[in-house]
Amino acid sequence: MSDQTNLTNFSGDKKAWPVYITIGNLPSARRNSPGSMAVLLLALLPIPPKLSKSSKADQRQRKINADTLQDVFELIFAPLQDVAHTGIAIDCADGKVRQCFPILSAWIADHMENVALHGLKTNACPKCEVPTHELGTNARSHRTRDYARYQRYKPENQNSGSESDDDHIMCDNLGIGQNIFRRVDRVSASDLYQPEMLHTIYLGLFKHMMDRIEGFQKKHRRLLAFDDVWKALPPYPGFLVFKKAYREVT
Amino acid sequence: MPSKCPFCRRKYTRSGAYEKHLRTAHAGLDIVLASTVQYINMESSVSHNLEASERQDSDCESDPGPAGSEPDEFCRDIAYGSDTEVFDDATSPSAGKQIHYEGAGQVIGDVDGFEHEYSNLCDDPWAPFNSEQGFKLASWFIEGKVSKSRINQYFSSGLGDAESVGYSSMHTLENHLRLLDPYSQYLQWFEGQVEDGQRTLPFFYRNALGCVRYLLRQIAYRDDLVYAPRHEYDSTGQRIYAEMHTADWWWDVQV
Repeated sequence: MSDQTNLTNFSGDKKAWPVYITIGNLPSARRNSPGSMAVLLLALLPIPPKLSKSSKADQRQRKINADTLQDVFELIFAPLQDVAHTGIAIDCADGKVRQCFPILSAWIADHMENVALHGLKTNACPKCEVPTHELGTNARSHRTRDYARYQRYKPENQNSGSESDDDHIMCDNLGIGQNIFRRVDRVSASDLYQPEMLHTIYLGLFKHMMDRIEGFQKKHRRLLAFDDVWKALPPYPGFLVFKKAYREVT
Repeated sequence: MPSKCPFCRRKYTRSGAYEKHLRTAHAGLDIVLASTVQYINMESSVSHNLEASERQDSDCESDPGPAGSEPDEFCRDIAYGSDTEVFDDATSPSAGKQIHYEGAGQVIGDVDGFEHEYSNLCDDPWAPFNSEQGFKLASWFIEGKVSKSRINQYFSSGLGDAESVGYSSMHTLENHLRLLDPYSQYLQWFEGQVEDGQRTLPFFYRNALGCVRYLLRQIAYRDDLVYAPRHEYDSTGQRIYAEMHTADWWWDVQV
């Protein structure tokens, strides 16, 4: 029910961090068309300054920033906390009142934003505990991230004074901050992650994959056959049948 | 310049008619086209007649003679010898089977004053403006980003007829605009402060629940809103995942 875009540059080198919200009750075609005005600006946040990794002072500053971010988001999500359990009567557009349970269900953001909000290192997967060196392989067996467990584990770790390697799997890939969604009621933080269409899916996965596939086909002279298959894909709800081959439109 | 059909000798000037010809006469050529033809055949009895009449008055047909009867035969072939595959469309929920979550999205009451508000909307769609002209002028001002002082000038110099438009200055226009969005109180902004140890920075936020209330209350979304999750299946019994309400998450959290 909530989206977030990446950091945006306004004029005059000022930056802002907008957070948007919308509702899942609207069909996606309606929700995503700009004219329907279905996406509301929920918050405008300041951007934490970039800090170096090396110095101790910056290290401390990072921790402060992460905690501040946590507080800000807790403030923003506060109205949704109680009603997620008890529900609340909301007037609906058809003139009826319904008992509604507004629950944060998805967070659309690019990868850098996601790892920042989930309190992970930049090369970590927000959904499961796949180790960095196995990214890109077909590893499927990894445990879903349990952010509540990380939370219990972290304070102990800090008391002992140093980042020890005791619990290697748990410690692996965790960043300095904590998951900002961890205290939002009825929200499973690992389910929130939704890839952003443009950067993650299209420019990231899809384009990369198509480049490789095309190279492969060129080598084996199968380009035309692939184009035919591409154009012959059957329709599916929400999927527009391709009229032209991939090569013709890109 | 008319475009020539690559599969026969017909020529078409209008793209709509050309597309229809491709869909009907050459439907068997392509799997993709064939599957879209399924839809057309639902209304094939209508389209048969339409085609017949359309062929006479539109487009430069090259062969009105024997070739002219061909498309209909093609069409009938496909209509009766149809494949087992029928593809459902998310926009036609009547097709296929649906399972609804029992009790979800139940109505627990009526919104006070809704009937009144709704009938007002129907009786006087231009309110708070007193005419269509007044509304159109206002939206022209706003969308054209005319400055406030220019709008005031417009009326003070006598260019506009304040009587028929219903407002005579930016001030009254702004009052009208405020009335247009009766639920804007849900979207109030709050200001907060963040301290990062060195500086204090302001930030701005809205009430998240207010935003949800605001969106759910918009009469403009009345026909689109979905209040309960459901499972949708196509005619072969395959589960269809499309919109959020057809997937598992909503079903799982529903109470």
